[in-house]
Amino acid sequence: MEMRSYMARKTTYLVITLFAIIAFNFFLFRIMPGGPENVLVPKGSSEFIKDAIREKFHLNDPYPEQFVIYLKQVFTLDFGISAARWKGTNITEGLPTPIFNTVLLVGTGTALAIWLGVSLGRFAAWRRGKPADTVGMAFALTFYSMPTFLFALVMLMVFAGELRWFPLNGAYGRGYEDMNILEKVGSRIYHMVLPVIAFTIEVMAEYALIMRNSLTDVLTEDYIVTARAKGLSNKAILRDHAMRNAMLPVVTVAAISIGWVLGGDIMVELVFSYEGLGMLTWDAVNLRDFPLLQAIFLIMAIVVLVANFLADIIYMYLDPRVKV
Amino acid sequence: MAVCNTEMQKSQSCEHTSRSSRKALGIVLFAIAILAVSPLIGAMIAAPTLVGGDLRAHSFSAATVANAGSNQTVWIGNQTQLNGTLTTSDYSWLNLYFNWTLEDNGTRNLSGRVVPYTFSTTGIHNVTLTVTDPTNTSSTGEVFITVVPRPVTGSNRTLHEGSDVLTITLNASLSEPLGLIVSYEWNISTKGGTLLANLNGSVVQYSFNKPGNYTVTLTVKDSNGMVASKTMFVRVLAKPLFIVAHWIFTFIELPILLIVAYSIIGRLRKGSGLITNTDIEKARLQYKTFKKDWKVFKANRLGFSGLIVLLIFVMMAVLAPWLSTVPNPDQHEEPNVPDPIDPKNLPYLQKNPLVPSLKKSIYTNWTHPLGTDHKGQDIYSLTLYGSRASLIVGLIATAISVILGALIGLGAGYFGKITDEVLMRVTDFFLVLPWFPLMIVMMAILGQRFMWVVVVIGITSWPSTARIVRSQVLTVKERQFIVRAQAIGASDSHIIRTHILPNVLPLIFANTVLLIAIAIFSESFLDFFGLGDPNVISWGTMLESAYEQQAFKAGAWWWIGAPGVAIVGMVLAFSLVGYAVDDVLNPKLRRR
Repeated sequence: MEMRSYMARKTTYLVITLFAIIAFNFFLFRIMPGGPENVLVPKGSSEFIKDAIREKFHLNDPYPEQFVIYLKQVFTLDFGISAARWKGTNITEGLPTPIFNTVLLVGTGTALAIWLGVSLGRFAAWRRGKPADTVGMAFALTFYSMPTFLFALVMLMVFAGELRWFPLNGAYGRGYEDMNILEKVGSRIYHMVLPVIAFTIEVMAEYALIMRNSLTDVLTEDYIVTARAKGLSNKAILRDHAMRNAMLPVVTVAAISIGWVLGGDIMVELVFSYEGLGMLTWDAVNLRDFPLLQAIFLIMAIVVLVANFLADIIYMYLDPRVKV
Repeated sequence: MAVCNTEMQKSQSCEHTSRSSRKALGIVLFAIAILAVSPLIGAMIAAPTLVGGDLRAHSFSAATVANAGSNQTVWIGNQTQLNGTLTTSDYSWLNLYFNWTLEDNGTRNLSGRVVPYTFSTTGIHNVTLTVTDPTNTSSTGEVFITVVPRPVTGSNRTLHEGSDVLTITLNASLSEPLGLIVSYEWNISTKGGTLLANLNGSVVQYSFNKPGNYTVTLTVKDSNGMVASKTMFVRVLAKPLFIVAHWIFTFIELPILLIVAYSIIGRLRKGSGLITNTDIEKARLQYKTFKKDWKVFKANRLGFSGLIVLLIFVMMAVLAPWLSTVPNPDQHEEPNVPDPIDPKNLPYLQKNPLVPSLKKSIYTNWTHPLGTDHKGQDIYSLTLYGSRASLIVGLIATAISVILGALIGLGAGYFGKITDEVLMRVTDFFLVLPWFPLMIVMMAILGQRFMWVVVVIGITSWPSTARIVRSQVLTVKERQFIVRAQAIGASDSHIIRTHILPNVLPLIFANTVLLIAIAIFSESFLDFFGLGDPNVISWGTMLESAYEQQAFKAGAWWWIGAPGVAIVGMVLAFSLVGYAVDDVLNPKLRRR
């Protein structure tokens, strides 16, 4: 019963926030200096595209009516018309490929980062105060302070520019359309190695720091001493008593830092010219394609919202004490 | 059973083939494979005779005509490509002789099918191509190459009303051919096409009187009567509003001055003198706690070294004009000074006339200790000046976010109930918004100004502060002295000002220091994304230009390394100090 009401409340919040995000996204592009006419309708584009955008967003109608129309469009996955990136075509048609590319990169990278980060954090915390701890934490702290694009740039310079082991840009090689499935996978992996490594190491640093701090706190608790007094092995203490409690903050922070992760993804995609959502954001900004930018921002915000919601649910399963 | 071809393989009888027949099958397949590959190998061996044929046998018929290419117009001094072909293309070029004849300071003969040539005189040149085959049959073709003088206007300019003089000097005396230009004509018009002035002379002056976009067209005529023109653009920017031009003064220094003046006047009106005994006592107590905290802080080795690194950065920012090796790092050197070029960088050189170089400049020995970038700007001096932008963004953006966060946190924590609920839902909403994309969107709409960078970073990073302030206010609110103040009828604003704020602010200090690190981080990210102010020297912008100019391909590590190390150093220093302060001030609170 308790769990059900918790779920119900979280879902209600999810729905309310979802509407708030859509409304925010709607007004952000309309209340900024210049108004919708200047922001959503780019100056350089042709009359045909301008008219199409005005028509699509009903820019000449009053705001409440525009908002209702926008809501309808969002729920039918109709994000409007691209002004410059895909001149005049529907944004929805162009989105699947970059989204797929980004999911591939972020998915692989995040999974690796959580696994490696938690391992490194656990390794350092268990050897607290020893040289291994110092080295591990210095490593994590350095990469945590380093802007992702800088690390990516160095990787690009060394492994793609100097040694030429990996390609300089792209999500896949030339002639991708004509390849068979095996070559396609090969080409993707070959192009993904550097971006994934850069992304993983940057994100991993944060998880390692949190894991290490959380675990060192837990290891000083009384029940760890009790477990030791019972004669449990180190492995059992770590696995059954310490890690279970220490994982909780990691889950919370993992949810909060999704926004951070997206930033890292944008930087990595930008440096490696990897054709995903981040690269698309850059294109949209450079070409002043604001309808496209609006669509991308909405997608990112909703992804983060859903990720937070999922983290809440996972947290509840991990920590049955949660009531509020 | 011995042979089992593909037809039989499918049939029933072949499904139970014995081991020996399988072996036989393998041999047959191998033989088929060899048979299939052998024509290829044969072709490769026989290739020269098959493909090349007899090179000397051909001669061309009367129907074949030499084609000297299409007519071109080039600026003097530019290389043209003379490209000869034949109307029928099945001839091997090897046994044909291509001969070009042209008049350029005397008759010149050039041979070869594709010949680069640079004309030294202007005029319409008639170039004749003669193609001769081994049997002495020949065919001729003609092409006209128009060589026009090259007008030199100088590069596009941007003038700032208020800080620059709006008179520009236009100098065309470097136009080629040198000394042979007989007339120079300058047309200055607005972007709309209205002619403003028509000037003659190789060096002229013109004064703009209002902001806008202008085009300047130079038309030159040389002694051979050839005419050429070139257009350059001049932008005159309007004088910015006082608030925008001096925004740091308007939004930061002025409010501080006003607050100080207000408190001094208030004290004077009370008539108790500027400094009372209570103030001295308070200061003494604060000094005592500070000394205690300082002792704990000093014991934290990481935090202390972070502080030293920070002090070095502050020194860099303050003393930049004295430490830098060039007077103004934004002003690059004359582009015709050849810097020593590493042959490895040659492909890169084709894109940029000035290669980023680590070698010493030919001017002085120690001008470029960390090399130069693609424009010849000194990396070391740029890095020094870049620390200013980072520190300003870090401090002011954090101030904005702390003020916003503190106001919302205080309101939510102190008033509670429905205020708390509403404010916290708003905070949660902004906490959920992905703030990197949000910053990008806001900067893209607002435009690339340094002020907006600061404001955008400030107003996207307040939610975490608001949460911390609220939790601190909630604990302080329950303490005895608040209840007593409320009992004697103190107003809410008095309680917040004199009791809650002084107790909460020190606790969020650590968070503030960490926020500075994140603000610097965000600023470099925005710059790298191409949304920073192009007129401000910053580390992010340096890295962006390094990336844009493909420094990673040229191996220009110093160009990426110097600003990179600086960013990491500063962010790391702020983070270390933040963690250390956190340890000192609130040892029980969990970090982040």
